[in-house]
Amino acid sequence: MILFLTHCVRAFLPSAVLTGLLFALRRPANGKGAVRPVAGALAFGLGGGVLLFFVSRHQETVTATRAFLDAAGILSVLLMAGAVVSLEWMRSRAGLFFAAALGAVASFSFLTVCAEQALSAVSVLNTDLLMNIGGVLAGFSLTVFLVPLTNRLASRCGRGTLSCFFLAACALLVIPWSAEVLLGLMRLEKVALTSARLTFVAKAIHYSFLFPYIHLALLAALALLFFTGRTAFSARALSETAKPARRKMVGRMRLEARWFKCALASIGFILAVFLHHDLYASRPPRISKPVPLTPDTGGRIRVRIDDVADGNLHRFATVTEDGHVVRFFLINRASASAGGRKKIGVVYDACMLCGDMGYRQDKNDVVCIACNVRIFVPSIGKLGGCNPIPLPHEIDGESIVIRSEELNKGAQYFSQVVDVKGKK
Amino acid sequence: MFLRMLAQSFVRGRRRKVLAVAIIALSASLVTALMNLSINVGDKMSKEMKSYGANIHVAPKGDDIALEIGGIDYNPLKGRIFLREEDLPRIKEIFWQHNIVGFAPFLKTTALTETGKRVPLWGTMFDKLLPVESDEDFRAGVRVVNPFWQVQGEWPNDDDGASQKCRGGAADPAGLLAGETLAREMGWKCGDRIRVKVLDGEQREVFLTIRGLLRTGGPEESALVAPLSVVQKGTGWEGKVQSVSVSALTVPEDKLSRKARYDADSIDSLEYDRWYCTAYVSAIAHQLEEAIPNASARPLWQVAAGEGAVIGKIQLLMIVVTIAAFIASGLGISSLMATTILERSREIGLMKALGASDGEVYLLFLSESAVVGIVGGLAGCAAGAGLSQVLGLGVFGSTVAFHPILVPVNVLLSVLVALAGSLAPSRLIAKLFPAEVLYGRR
Repeated sequence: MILFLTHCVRAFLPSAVLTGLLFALRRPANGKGAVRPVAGALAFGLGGGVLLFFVSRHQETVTATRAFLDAAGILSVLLMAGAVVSLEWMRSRAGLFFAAALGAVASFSFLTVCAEQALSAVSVLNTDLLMNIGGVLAGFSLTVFLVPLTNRLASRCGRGTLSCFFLAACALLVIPWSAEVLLGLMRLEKVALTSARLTFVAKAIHYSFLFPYIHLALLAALALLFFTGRTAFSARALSETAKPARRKMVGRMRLEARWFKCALASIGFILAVFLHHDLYASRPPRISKPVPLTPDTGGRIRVRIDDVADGNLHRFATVTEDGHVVRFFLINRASASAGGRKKIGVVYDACMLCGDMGYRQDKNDVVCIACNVRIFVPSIGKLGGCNPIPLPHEIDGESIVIRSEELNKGAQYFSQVVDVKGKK
Repeated sequence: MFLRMLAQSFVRGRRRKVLAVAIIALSASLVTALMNLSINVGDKMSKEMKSYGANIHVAPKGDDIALEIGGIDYNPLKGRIFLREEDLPRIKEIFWQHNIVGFAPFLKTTALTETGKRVPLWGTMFDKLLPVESDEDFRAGVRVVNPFWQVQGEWPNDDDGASQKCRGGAADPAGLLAGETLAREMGWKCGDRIRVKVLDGEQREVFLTIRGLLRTGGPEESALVAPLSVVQKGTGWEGKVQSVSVSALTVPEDKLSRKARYDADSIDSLEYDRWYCTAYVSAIAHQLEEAIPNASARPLWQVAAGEGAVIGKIQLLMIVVTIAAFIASGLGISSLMATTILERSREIGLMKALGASDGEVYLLFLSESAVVGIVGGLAGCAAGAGLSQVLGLGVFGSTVAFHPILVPVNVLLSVLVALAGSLAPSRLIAKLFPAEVLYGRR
């Protein structure tokens, strides 16, 4: 649910902020009637984006359509920026084109993201489906609310400040869009793949999660400007005015305070949602911290069987001569019903197929972090499938002995390297 | 002040409000009941798809062609083509060998009891040591594959049948499990010795001892379940099995596996490799088909194939009923609202005369509708929870748990319907002019 809320807010936040700014920019020139055409153009764009997505998915031309839409978006932004700078924009239709392009790109990119995570695993109505739809609805209504909010916050600013804000928000959109266009053209083999182009695209996509934060920061800055420029009447001024006028003054102050509180609450909520996604929800699961072990003078590592026979995963790490950190784990693979027999599986914390992401224990299961496969615990210690790579060892009475030569051989499976010069 | 006015309008016009709440509650209860049934099955299905284990049914190719007409299977090959028992260890040699937790072969036939009753006789392995290349201690049998099978008494020994040489029943005959329903019907209990005549193949007689009574909740409850070797001997189908249930640890279904399932042509070689090397139930089934000659393997989605199929078919009907119910209640709210506004026109006129804008009067009336929607939605949920029990008993023969997600969904829907119903009549508000209504000209 929160995933879809995040995607929705992330996709529509820039459009909402820009539309709000657009309303604020147009208002003084055209009066009240300026809202309707822009809102209409935006709705047309949103609907068009949805339609285009389904048509292009059916035709299998999603990449081309996306590149085309982003290119149209860049064009509209440039037109709009030119219009704003030359102050000629009030008469031009750049605003309408701009709003339509914004809406289309936003809804198209939102649907592309959504298509990667199905709303529901099955076709029959279920709790997950309802929750996810709820997430989308909540995110969408929140961003819709941001439009009048931005408009109201921006109403305190002068024309110059407003244009600056508008251009900054536009510039933030152009960077990821141009990366998308370039990537699309490269994938469609319309332009040559060069390392400089690829670097730009990779960097832009890698840091793309930052752009919504910057938009949010712009909104916060607007809110701050609104707060500093709020109407404040001194107590004396209030007491000197006649009652009806005073009531109107107090009402105005209260209204502004409410808008400001709303702005704070929305920004705080969106920030919390974003942070939750980036810092917590989208992170892969982590392995537990391994216990560091060093071989004794004979080059052996000894682990007492009784210490690791409780059925849990016991992870250890050692540093080889060439500085590789080799992780391995021991687990009692005899099931509880085996009558207290102890069969310890001794394996590297790495998989032939999936690499050294490692394994984690989830209740009674051992799970490969890279591919989410449940490993059948009695089979740990055998090669094959996604099982951990077996580590040759000897059993010496009550303890398991691992020779450091074996661990040195296993260094090839691990990529983590530490500097071992200090030791020498 | 606004809240006070809202409360007053409920106190003054309570009869009409009660009527409005009742209209909303009626439709909401119907919708709750239908959605609850649907969600109940949908949740079970999605849990099944997301689970980390699945059973795969392996049968000979051609055996799974459905030729059922009127409930009778007319497939002439049904039960006449087999898998070889010697191929079974290959199940533990596929790429995902370690994810195969267990398997149990089945050989199903019919037998005639001494009293002349025809009963299903199933041969299977219970817990048999079957060393395979990758695992010396591997044990095959239903105790691993179907952990929910409950036995009252003791489990029979798999090797009993192999040592049974004398026909007269002088030595201790092989043990078997009798389904609980069947045992009750026949008056059997643990320790009883029975003699049955197999009706397939060479039609031999076998002597058996009932070691335990089996409770599964499935068709096994009215069958005899004997060691595989006993049934193989009785029918003369030595070394043959009809189907195999394989229990595997899997990765939950996701986008790639759905694509492979519904649109196999569209996956490219890279995706195919990734699919093959991921322990999706479909990938494991595919590898089983590769490993065992002439076999077809398919995952057993129990809920999806049973209740899911029923609900899937009537889902469209449910949606139509939902929409119709809400339209009807919306129309009811609409007419109630129109009369309310006309009745309270003097009040509206007074509010306007005191300086209320059109928007503020709208807000008052729409808030009233919203409150009606909330109360009606909640009442409807409560009624619908009861109604869904009745429907559940009728459709599935069992009660249905109430899903709390329905409360917000229904309240939201009810509020939307109430608001939609009052939007059109509340346009009247703008047409009322204070001077006219206060003088009583309208």
